[in-house]
Amino acid sequence: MAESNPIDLDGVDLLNGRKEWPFQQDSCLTCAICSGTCPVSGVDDFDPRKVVRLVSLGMADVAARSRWPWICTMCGKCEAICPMGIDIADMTRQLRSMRARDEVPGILHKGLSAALETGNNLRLPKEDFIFILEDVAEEVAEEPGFEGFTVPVDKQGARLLTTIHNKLVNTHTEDLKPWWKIFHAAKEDWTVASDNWEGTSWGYFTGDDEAMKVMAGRIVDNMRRLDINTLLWPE
Amino acid sequence: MFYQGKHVAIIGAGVAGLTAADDLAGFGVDVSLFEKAAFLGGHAIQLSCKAAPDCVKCGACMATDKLQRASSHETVAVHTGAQIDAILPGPPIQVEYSLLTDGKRADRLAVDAVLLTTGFLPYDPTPKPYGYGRFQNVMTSLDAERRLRQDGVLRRPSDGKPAERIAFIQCVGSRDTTLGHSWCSKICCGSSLRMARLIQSRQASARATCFYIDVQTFGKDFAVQYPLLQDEIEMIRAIPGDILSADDGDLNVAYFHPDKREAAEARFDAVILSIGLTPSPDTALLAGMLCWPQDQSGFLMQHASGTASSARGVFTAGTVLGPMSIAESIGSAEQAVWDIIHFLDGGDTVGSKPKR
Amino acid sequence: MVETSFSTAGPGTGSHATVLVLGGGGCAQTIATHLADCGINVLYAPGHPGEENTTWLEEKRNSPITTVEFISCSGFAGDFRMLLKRAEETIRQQVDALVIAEDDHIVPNFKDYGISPGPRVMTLSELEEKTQRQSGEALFSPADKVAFFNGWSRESPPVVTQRMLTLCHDLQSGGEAQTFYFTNNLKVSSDGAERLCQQAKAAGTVFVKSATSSPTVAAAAKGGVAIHYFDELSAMPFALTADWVIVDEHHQPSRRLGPLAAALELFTDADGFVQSDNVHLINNATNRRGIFAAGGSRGIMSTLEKAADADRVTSKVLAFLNDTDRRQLPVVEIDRGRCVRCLTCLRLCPHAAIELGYRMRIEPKACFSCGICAAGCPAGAIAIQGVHIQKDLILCLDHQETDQRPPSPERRVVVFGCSRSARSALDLVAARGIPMPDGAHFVEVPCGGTVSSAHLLAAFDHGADGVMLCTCHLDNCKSQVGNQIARRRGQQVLEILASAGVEAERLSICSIAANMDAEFATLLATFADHIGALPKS
Repeated sequence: MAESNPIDLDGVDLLNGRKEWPFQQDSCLTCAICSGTCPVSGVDDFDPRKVVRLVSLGMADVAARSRWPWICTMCGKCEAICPMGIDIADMTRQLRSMRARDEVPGILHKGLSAALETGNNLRLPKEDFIFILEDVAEEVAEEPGFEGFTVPVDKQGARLLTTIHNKLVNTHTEDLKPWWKIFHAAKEDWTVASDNWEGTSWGYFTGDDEAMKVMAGRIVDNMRRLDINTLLWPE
Repeated sequence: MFYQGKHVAIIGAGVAGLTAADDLAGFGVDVSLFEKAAFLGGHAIQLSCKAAPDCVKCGACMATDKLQRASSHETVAVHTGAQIDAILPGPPIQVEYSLLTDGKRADRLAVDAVLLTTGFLPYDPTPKPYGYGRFQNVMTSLDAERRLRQDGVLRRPSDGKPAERIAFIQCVGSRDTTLGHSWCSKICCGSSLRMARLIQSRQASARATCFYIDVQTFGKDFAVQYPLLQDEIEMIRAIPGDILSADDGDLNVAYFHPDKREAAEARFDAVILSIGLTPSPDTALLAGMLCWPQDQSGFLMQHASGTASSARGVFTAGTVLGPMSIAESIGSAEQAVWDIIHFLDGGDTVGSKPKR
Repeated sequence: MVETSFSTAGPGTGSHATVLVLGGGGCAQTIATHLADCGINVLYAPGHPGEENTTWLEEKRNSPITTVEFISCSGFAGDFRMLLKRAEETIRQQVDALVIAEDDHIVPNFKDYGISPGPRVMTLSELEEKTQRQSGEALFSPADKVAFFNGWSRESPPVVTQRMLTLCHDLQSGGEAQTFYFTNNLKVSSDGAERLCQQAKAAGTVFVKSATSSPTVAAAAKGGVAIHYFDELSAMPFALTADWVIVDEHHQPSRRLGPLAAALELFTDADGFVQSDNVHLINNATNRRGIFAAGGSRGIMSTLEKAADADRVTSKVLAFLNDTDRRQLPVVEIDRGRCVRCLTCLRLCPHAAIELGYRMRIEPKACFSCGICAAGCPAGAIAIQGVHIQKDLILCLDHQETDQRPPSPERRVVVFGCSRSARSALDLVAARGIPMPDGAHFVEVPCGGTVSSAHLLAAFDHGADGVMLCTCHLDNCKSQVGNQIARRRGQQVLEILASAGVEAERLSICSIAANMDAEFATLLATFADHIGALPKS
């Protein structure tokens, strides 16, 4: 961090705004366990303890303006291990929500806009989506023990609806197969939706509660439409 | 001297109980000393001398001393393998107990006073993500003490070789709100630093690293010792976030380097978890039997506020009251002895001798 | 408290004991009243007559408390001969025991923090006192920034941190000020300190830990104190104008302790408290029997702990007066026929138990039976009952002396060890089922210091191939210096051996504690093997 002028604590509002930050961040013991377990500590000077400290000092806006909340992977290890029970991941999400939507880091903003507009992060049209699924299904059906395998799409009244992470129909299509083989071997009555099948929740990830509600709402709509009670959401 | 010939039951033969037994016997009081384990001396007797090579005043040898002194009195009757079933208010106070070695034969003793010195329970770090119970070479400080007493050097559980790169992790189970342990266990900083120095002095190739939050003061000469220890032992002011197993039973410890401000990983061949002192289940049981108040942390309060009759003639000392060093436990017992003598001098006589 | 009337006179003495309590302050007063309630005549020497509140002295007790001034002291446990001043009169008084309970005094740490006393700076004690005096009245306004400086230069004693945290927490949680707590190692070992700290944080106290760099402090232009510091958690520099700074304190022993220790021949610790830092003195003992140290005279402790110490030491004094505080010790006596009054014993005795007079005399009540004097006496005039080192040596080494000796082993090793440590350790070794190495003989002595150079040489003279001298660790000797004296003698013998062409490794000087079982077994075995490997001497 470059040499900078000292921050004038006299100008910082220490006690007000605590209602908006109810994450126990003031209890920090300075033990650094969070920073020790965080998979991205040290990247661009980020560590969770630092961000907790800034919020505790009434400088959440400084933290929100920085890259640091976006380096976090939201894995939640810090929160799980903190001996003071500080909700570090939740706090980080709230910092993210302070960012204007069009200033959310590039790919996240792009992906979320796409999802809100088209139902998936990639703007993948329905026909292409179905095509990719069927293509992979054919490959599965060629394997011994999986003869006759097909992928059920929009199956009314199935037992289980599953979402799909966009990368599984983009760069990692092979990773669809283990899921499907398990469903098949277990004789599961499952299906995917042809629209709003997106499994990632970048509304959640970018601290956008409205977007998160829309995305979740669409999945619920699918369940109602297809009359399915059980959701598998592997995100 | 109305206290002479009176009878006190001491429950718990750790260093506090032994001190009280010795002092009370010296005053001419008959003592029945109850201990649930098969041996006397509690935790303190299991500790290793930490002289490296000069005495560091840990007090462990004093546990041996108090044991010898308490055992030398004919008026101290010892019951090991004993379980207290009930303490009924007096006078005289009735102590109901079973001897587990005697086919759980129940018995009852009438006494003039009872001293509770049931000590503490060391924190079990199995739930923590440090690999205790899974990785052979992750041990608690108490495990390490026993190994040092046994072998003189710290041998790795996995292969018996002397450990060379040793990590100490402080505050395990202490200063932890999520566990409900909002206290500092007081003695672990001193214990670990002295142990680290001891191991290094016994074995030239050994190097200790201490991961800590705040170093607590220990001993009268802390101001002198602490700078020396900082030179001898690598002190890192961060608690590790992950411990992963490496090959050969080694451990990779991931932490955030506080000075370099970067993620770091270091390989150790043994990890010692400095576990905290917690209230033992016995404490809660006894508190229940006597309607004795417990503090916010679950340790007993020194005195029972109010005047519940079941608490009259009952006294407390040692780590049942909270984390204490050996010197403090002895002091706590010595203070309780004063209170007991006072009480016995003004109280009713029982007149019955202890059953042997 | 229950009224007691128990007499502390031991069986057969028939009279009440007298105890001198030195020191002003709550601890000394409590000790004095406790002892008086036990029927003991108390002489009370507060040291600052006239400054004390004396109403408590006028209360009726089982025995009187008389205020005196200490001038000098000679004699021993049970028979201390005091020269005192009572009112305007100088008197001689015999006293059975002394309790030193001088209160420590408190020094603010201005220099540590580069801050001067000033209108916006308060010491911890000042704030405490003002808070108590003006309870209910606000000392600050809610917008005031109050910075607490605790232990970021020198380490703070837990007792001081407890007081600082309490005040800081109370101000913050009462909404009376915005508090900042500047520290380094946060001392939370005192009862409830960690919880207090968490509550202060929850109420809004900002804690700043300075490990790698210290805050800088200067007077602020508009009054108050300008504090510049590097916040190590956020890795950012900050500037704060505190309206008030509360400076912590350190404890120093009373200035009277130094002269007192010299007058009474007491060892002190590195800070000047009148109790050396030795675990055998836990909790109120000194190197002299019959003289006790309590409260602020023996270390830094809270007011509550001082009160507990008063109880403790009273119980110890009673045990001493009843002569039940120690196990039977062998009597050490000077043979007047052999004594040449060289005064070596007097100079050596760490317990000041030897009387200089027409006849040199060891006072049994004051003696610890360490035997350091016996080992140092050039005329061999001092005998320890039941201890015959020469005889023991001969018994284990000279086979001609006895009939039923087994054939002499390959090596003969003599291990000198004291009852305190080596004997206990050896018992533990035996309890593990580990025997002494072949050819090794243990000669028990009261203290390492009981072993003289002559004994060590005699061992070799009588055929020992190797000699091990076990002492207690430095600072762990019950007689404080027995181990050091033993080591000095050992070094001298090494030089003598060298000049006689004997290998230095045949004499091993090592330190042992009572609880070192495995290590002792290893030490013995290693040494015995080593000696066995050397050519026969």
